[in-house]
Amino acid sequence: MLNVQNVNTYIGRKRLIKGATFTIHQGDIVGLIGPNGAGKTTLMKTILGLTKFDGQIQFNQQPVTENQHDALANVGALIEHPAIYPFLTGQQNLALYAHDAADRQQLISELGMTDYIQAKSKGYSLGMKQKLGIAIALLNHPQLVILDEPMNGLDVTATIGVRRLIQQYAAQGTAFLISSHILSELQKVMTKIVLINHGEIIVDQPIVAFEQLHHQADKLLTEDFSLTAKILKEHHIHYVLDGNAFQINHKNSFEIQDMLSSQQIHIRELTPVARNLEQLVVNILDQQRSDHHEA
Amino acid sequence: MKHSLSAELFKFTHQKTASVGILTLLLLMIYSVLTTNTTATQVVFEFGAVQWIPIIIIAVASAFFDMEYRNRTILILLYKNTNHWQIYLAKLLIVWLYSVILTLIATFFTIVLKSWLVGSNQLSWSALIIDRQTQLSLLIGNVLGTLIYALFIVTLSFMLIMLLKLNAAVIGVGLALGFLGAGFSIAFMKSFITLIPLFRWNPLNMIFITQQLANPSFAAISHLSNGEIIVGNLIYSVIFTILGYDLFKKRCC
Repeated sequence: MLNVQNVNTYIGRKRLIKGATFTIHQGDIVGLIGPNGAGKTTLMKTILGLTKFDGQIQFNQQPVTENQHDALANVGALIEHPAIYPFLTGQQNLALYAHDAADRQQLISELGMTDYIQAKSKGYSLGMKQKLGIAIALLNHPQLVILDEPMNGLDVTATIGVRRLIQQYAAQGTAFLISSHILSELQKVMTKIVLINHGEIIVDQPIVAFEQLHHQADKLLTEDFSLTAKILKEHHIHYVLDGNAFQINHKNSFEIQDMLSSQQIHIRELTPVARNLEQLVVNILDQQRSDHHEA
Repeated sequence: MKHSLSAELFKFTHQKTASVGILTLLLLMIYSVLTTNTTATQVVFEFGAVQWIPIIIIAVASAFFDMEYRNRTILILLYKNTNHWQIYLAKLLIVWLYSVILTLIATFFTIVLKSWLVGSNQLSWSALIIDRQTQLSLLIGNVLGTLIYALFIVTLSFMLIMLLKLNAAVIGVGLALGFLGAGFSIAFMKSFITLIPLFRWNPLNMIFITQQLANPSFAAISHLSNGEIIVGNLIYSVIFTILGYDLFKKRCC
């Protein structure tokens, strides 16, 4: 569907995106994550053909360039702030882009905008504007939707509603590229992660593989706490106690299982320690920072 | 292009700027009626409308483009359209059509004011006044001049809003052009008499089209014939459009 190959984006002479390569397939929900100034919005604008770039961007095998946007007819976007005409009502803002009145009405109802959609949008709250911006991006059943910080200003109910809508559209084949600072929210919907820092993509993986690869600790519970502690100490295996459970390094887990088995100590629980996405991302960025310092 | 035009028309007609512009013009014409004696010249120049229309147009035109950047709607406009010419030209056409409407309203209001103030017997439309021309033909000349100059002004204000990126600055330039442009142009040519063949083509000189088509004696001030001043206005409109579009393409969203 979307194929980004070795893309470099320039603002003036400065290269803001460096050799970005990734693909998005039908139904993917891709989380674009990175610190402030990492290049997330610039990358999104580049995909929309709004910046100078070299490399290749193709959507459904059709090229996207700064001067060629035909391929983007089936792409919806919300970049930075909702693009809304304040002197028009919500309904009129949607009507400017809608091909089908029924689709427009359905979005209004699903996003809970019925009560105020006939009012001029200049009086809308931040959350109301945000929902209207999301509705504009989702109009006409696009094949790809690019959402930059879609949860900005949304209350809990609206956040849950938008999340459900994203999953519903993805189930019908729409692909999403979403950036958000609320990683916990992104974690609930994304099927793939693209991590960007200093304009470079440093992670591009399905979320399942990413979590498996980056989980580093396991929780161990055995039938005999004191004997287990003794064995671990004897073999100089590092552990941290968490109540009556041991937190061990994931890479030692097979070795420990063999030791306990040979001593006929039964394992009650051996599970990966759940780490949230924020911790994993911070760890990777810290690791990258220290690698840069060493280099 | 058809879709771009209808979308721009929809936006333009739903903004207050359009109706405020018309109201401002009518108020200024009434102000002119109340503060000066009604003469044939006043009628021919549509109670000052010839001077006010370009100033209103420059404010409306720059605001119409500027709001796309302020509301960040330019982003959708740009990525949804491969042909950015369509966006630029559609906006330009809509604002020029607005200037046609403003001019027609001013003409209609002039006719109403004239018949109300002086009656139909005095200052008759068929009376010969300047250069043995009827009041009606002078008025038509002025209307044509205003429409051509409106094109010059719309293209100029679009170029200026791309260049200065600040609506207030463009309006300031518009006011300066409206009130001081002609004076500067005359002073300039008087200071460099030998260079008049070149300097008569300066853009500030183009404003004389609003008076010269009705009153050919203005050709002695502009140093351009009627044909030359029409061509001059049209050529500047093309130049401003090309430069403005180039700035539009380069302007980051």
